[in-house]
Amino acid sequence: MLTYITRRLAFVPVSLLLVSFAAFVILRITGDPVQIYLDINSTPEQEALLRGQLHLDEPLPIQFAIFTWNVLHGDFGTSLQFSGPALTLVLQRLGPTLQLVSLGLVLAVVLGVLAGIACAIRRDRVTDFVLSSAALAGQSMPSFWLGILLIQFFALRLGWLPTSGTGSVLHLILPGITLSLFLMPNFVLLTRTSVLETIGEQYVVTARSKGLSGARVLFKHVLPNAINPVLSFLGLQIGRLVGGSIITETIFAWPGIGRLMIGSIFQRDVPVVIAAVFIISFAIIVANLLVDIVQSLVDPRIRLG
Amino acid sequence: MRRPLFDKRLKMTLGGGIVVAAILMAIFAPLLSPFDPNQQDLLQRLKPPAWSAGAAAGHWLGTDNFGRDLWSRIAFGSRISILVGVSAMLLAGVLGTLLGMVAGYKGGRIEQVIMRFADAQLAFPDFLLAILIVAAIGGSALNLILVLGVSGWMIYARVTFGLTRSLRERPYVEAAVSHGAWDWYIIRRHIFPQLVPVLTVVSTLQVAQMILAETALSFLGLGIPPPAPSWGNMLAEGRDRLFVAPWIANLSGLAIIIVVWGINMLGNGLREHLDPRSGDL
Repeated sequence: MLTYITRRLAFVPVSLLLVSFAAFVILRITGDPVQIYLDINSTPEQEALLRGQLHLDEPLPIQFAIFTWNVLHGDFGTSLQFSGPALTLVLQRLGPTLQLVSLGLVLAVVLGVLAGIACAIRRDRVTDFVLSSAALAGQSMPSFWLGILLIQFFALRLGWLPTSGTGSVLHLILPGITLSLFLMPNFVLLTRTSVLETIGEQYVVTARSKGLSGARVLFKHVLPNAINPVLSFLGLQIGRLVGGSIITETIFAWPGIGRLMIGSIFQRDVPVVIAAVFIISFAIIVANLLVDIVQSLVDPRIRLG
Repeated sequence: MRRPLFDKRLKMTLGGGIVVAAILMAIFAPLLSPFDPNQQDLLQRLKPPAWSAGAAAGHWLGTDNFGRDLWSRIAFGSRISILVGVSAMLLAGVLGTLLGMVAGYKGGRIEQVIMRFADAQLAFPDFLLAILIVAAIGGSALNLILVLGVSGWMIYARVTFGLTRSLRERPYVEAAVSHGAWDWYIIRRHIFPQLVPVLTVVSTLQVAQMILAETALSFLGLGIPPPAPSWGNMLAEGRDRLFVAPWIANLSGLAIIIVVWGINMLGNGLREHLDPRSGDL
């Protein structure tokens, strides 16, 4: 177990170096930093001074080394729109994003898996038809429209919940539901398929022929085996989770990293964008690691294989 | 066993019908639109659709904040969504299929490089990558096609890689090799035709994903720049007028979900038709 985790941990610096490289390339494509930092009235002397301070007169590999060195020390530069280090700004937004993401993910997994099991044991009946059709339709639903529909119904028509912003627990409800409904359909359909496949296995037939009750077969033999594909799928959903939370934060003006990043893109605030990408990538790497570890705990074939 | 309520024939008919209708709408957009999609008429702004009180004659789906005819904008918007969706799917499909076939056929170090790269890119959110690239190079239909195409090749590579590797062991491939056939000839003649059914299904479903990605980027303001009509940027404009004109956001959203749902139905029907074993989904 420990060797497995150590082996996986060894990949973390490699992944971060790759992200750092990608961030550096994007930083350079975006344009001359000197033009971004200084206004139109700057003199050539000011430009030359700044170019020296930012090490832009060095060869590209050295620039990349300096960039990586600074990043390792948490120095992403100073924000152009707000005063203060870019990293601090991003870390301030980490809490709201984590609240939103965890609520959305927990709701999606719990309700999605339950609905998927319900579909599988009531296969081709009304329950299955309704839930599967809803999941299929949900896969086609653009999450940004879903959020807007929820705002219209619960905030504008019924007046139960605030339309957007932050301040109370109530503000989290609509964004959380939007994000979870965006992720849920895949979990419903995957759990359904996985449970149906497991039900067809011979050990399940054996368990049933021993005369075990339906519930016992389900909880003892079917679900523990059917849950593995769902777990590995969870790892693949991290990317969708990031995209979904960026959009959800934008719709609901939720003060998270995604909204900060999109806003900074429009303000050409490159240091904040880079810092946000870096923190998001770091979170993705950690999340993937956690999923792998949980999976290897559940399924010995993975850590031994 | 019971017959499913939604069988493959119904799915393909329904989905195919919607897809054909959307394509016809895109082709004949100028004939279907009573107005120029960018023509402003400030006296007619924020008029509701024909079924609500206060509707303006001629604008049966109402008008937006600049008095532009919403139906005309939705009709022209289908051009952008379908163009970007299909082209990005093709770009990703060609890239991914070629790389996947080469990796599966050649094996060894080439396979390691290609497939590890695919894994690495899969771990990074494609939507975040697309946001960053568009932020760096700017939004336009061509840029969106390039960005979405390049960030979506991995799924094709994975599918074709697995199939190619198993096809490579087939006797007829070995026979061709022993006859001295060139690699490229074998891939074209003996391997690619076997991939076509699976690729048809994946490509169809990917068009839906590409359209969703395009509309999402346009919604964030990073896709098709206004005033060109895209369903995504129309929805974004509608969001700012939800109190007074909810129909702008809702009709654009409805256009997206109908087309994407139709494509998904068609893809699922095709999958059940071409690969009966994976019918349950």
